[in-house]
Amino acid sequence: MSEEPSHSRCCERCGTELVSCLFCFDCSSLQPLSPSTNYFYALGIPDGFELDLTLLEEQFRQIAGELHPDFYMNSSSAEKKLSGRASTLLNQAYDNLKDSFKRATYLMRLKGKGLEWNERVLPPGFLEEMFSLQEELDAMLEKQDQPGLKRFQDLLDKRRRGLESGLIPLFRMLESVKELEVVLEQLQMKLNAERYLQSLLDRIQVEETT
Amino acid sequence: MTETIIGIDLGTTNSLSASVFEEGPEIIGTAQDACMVPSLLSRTGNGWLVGEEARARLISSPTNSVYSVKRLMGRGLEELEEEIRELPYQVEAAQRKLVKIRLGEESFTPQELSSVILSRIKEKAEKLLERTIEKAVITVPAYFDDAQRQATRDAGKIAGLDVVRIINEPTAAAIAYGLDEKKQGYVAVYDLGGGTFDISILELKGKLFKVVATHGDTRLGGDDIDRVLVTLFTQSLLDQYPNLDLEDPSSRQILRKTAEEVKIALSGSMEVEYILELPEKRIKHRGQLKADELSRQIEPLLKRTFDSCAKALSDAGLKHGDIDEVVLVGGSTLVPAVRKGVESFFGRTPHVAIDPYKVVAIGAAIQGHLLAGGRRDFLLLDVVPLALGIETLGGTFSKVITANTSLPAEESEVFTTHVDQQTSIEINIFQGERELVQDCRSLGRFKLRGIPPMKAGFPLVEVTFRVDSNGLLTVSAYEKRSGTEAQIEVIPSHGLTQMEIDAIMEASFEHAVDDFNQRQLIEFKQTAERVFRGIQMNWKIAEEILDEDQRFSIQKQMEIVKQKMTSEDSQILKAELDALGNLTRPLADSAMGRAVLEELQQQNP
Repeated sequence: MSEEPSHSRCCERCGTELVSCLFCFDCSSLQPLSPSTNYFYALGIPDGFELDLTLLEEQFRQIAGELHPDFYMNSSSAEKKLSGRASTLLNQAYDNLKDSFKRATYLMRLKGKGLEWNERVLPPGFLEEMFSLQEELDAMLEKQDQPGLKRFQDLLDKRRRGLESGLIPLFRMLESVKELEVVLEQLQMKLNAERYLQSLLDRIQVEETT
Repeated sequence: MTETIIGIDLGTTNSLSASVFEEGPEIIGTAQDACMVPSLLSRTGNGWLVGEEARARLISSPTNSVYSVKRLMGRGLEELEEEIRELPYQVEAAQRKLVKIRLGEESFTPQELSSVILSRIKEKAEKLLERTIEKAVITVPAYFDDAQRQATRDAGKIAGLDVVRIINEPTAAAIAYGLDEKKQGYVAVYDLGGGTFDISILELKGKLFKVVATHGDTRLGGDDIDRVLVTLFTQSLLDQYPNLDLEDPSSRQILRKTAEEVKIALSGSMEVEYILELPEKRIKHRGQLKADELSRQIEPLLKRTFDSCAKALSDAGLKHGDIDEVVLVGGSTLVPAVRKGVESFFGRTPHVAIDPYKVVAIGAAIQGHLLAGGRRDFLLLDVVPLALGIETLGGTFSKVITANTSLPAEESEVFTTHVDQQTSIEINIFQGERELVQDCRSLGRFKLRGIPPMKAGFPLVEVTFRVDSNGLLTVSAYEKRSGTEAQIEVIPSHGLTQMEIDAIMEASFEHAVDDFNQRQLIEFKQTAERVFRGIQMNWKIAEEILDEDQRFSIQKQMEIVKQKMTSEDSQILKAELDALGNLTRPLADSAMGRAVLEELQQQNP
């Protein structure tokens, strides 16, 4: 899979340079989908981990307001299908870029193509700490210790935010260093740790809704 | 001109339909003759009575009559225990997790019963709009899960309607308001209907409408207010007649009906006098009730709705003050105590510009108009209301698509086998937010066959969930190592299969043929009697102009027709009547000739 030269394609119909690879705002036409659509290009925003969330939201609204299958109910079946697929892709792009951990994962997959993805690497000492946290959580769930659970949730949230703020310098480094692998492994550790924290958080939320 | 896609609010107590006209969206018909049908049904020997015409039979024939069928849509017997206890008609288990309602000798699925109401709406709309209607947008409560939505879609299909979209009732209300008043910001829609409560918070920004949170209580609504009143009435009756048994279906219906009337009357006045008449028990009981008393009694019910509102706000990450507009939906919001409560909870005066009875149907009609290509200045971004996923080892629920994902959506997960040489996997599809499948709704299951035999954990089975813009879920799977495409059979747990829908439609078609035959039979019998009278009156002429053989043939044929009049086949009767007509033609011709002649003579003396 070759990386698409992002953000530089022209409309299939009128030839205007496209802001989003999904839709031409100049001649209001749906664009054919490529198998490796770049999420950033789908939303018409610059690549990179640090992004303007307001712009992301604005672009999503603009593009969704044109692509949606509701506007193609009376079109040809090919167009109907295309608008459905393009909208699905736009939704996926938006969901993946909006959340910083999902965005980081997506970017890593783009940058680290061909590298073995190690699901298990974790920051040193993290797992041991999590085991003891997990035991603590089990006990609190057992006792239905609501104030305790709330405190625990805040603690996990804080840890998660800590991981999040650690992502920015790593992505900046990724732009400047040659040894991508080292930085990527650091990123991977943080993302794996976040998934772990999230699974603990999910358990608390589950108990809250019962 | 664009085609007409009508909007239908298929309600627990009332169903109505709206459309977009040149002057704007409005309920179809006039105030006197609106496209509105109370959601009531009664089964008679000659078919269905629907709406107002069925109301009297709720009391006279409670075991053959149905109300609140919406509560049963897409649900299983085990979930309905509480509801069923309150209902005078009989609900029984049917195939899979379906239920059927027994009415006399027959039994019907909730889908069939709802389709009868939808058919009536369709017929009425066609008559009032003077054109055929094939497509509709139907509204459902926000908390309806996939099975309940599918059941609604199937009801439409049985009624001959292509349900192009199912939208949430509060969302429809927000569309009607937002577009009417060109509002922007956060809108809270408080919907207290007949049987259910829903709170939805929507964000209106630019041309996009998005649901940011919903919450609700499926067992809370106007019926509960009625129930509070029924309890008050029962107490008042028992005070006077201590040994009275009020558990029979007829008494329960009378109490319920009076409660509804008193509730409505109390919306307009401070105190209401009521009369409870139980003819079977020879009781006529008078009483009175103050609006304050009702307010006090329903306080706990309102508290429950505000707990839901608080949860919805917290899910949306909003505070009370962030809500820009409050919209009321549902007949129960006409109760003054409800309005006052909502106002103090949100700190905003709720909107009442559009009739809360009509607002949902109107919103649905606007969405229908958009789908028909009539406008493109707004877009409703619908989301998956509850997570969708599959059952994995140990009965855990593994989410594939999370809640609030925008539609259309698609996600894949890879799963594997647990036993060596396993060649098939059964995939159970669930919907919910809990960790274990036992706490989620089962939507169906399918079997993935033809996996080449491999060691456990080796096959990579990719399961893909797709939800289209209409909320329709399709699940597919394939094994990645071998590239084997999965053979999928989806068996809906609470829904009807296509074959069952076809069978119902065919049966209702046969029924239509039956009805037609019945009507013709009556018509032909009347014709036969008229012909007999004509022959008798003109027999003198027959003796003059017909020979004996001809007269004998007529008499013989009259006997045959008389015999066929007792049969049930209209076509046989018609054939014999036609034969009689041929035999008597010379007589008719001359009888007519004579009549003409006599007339001519009178005119020219």
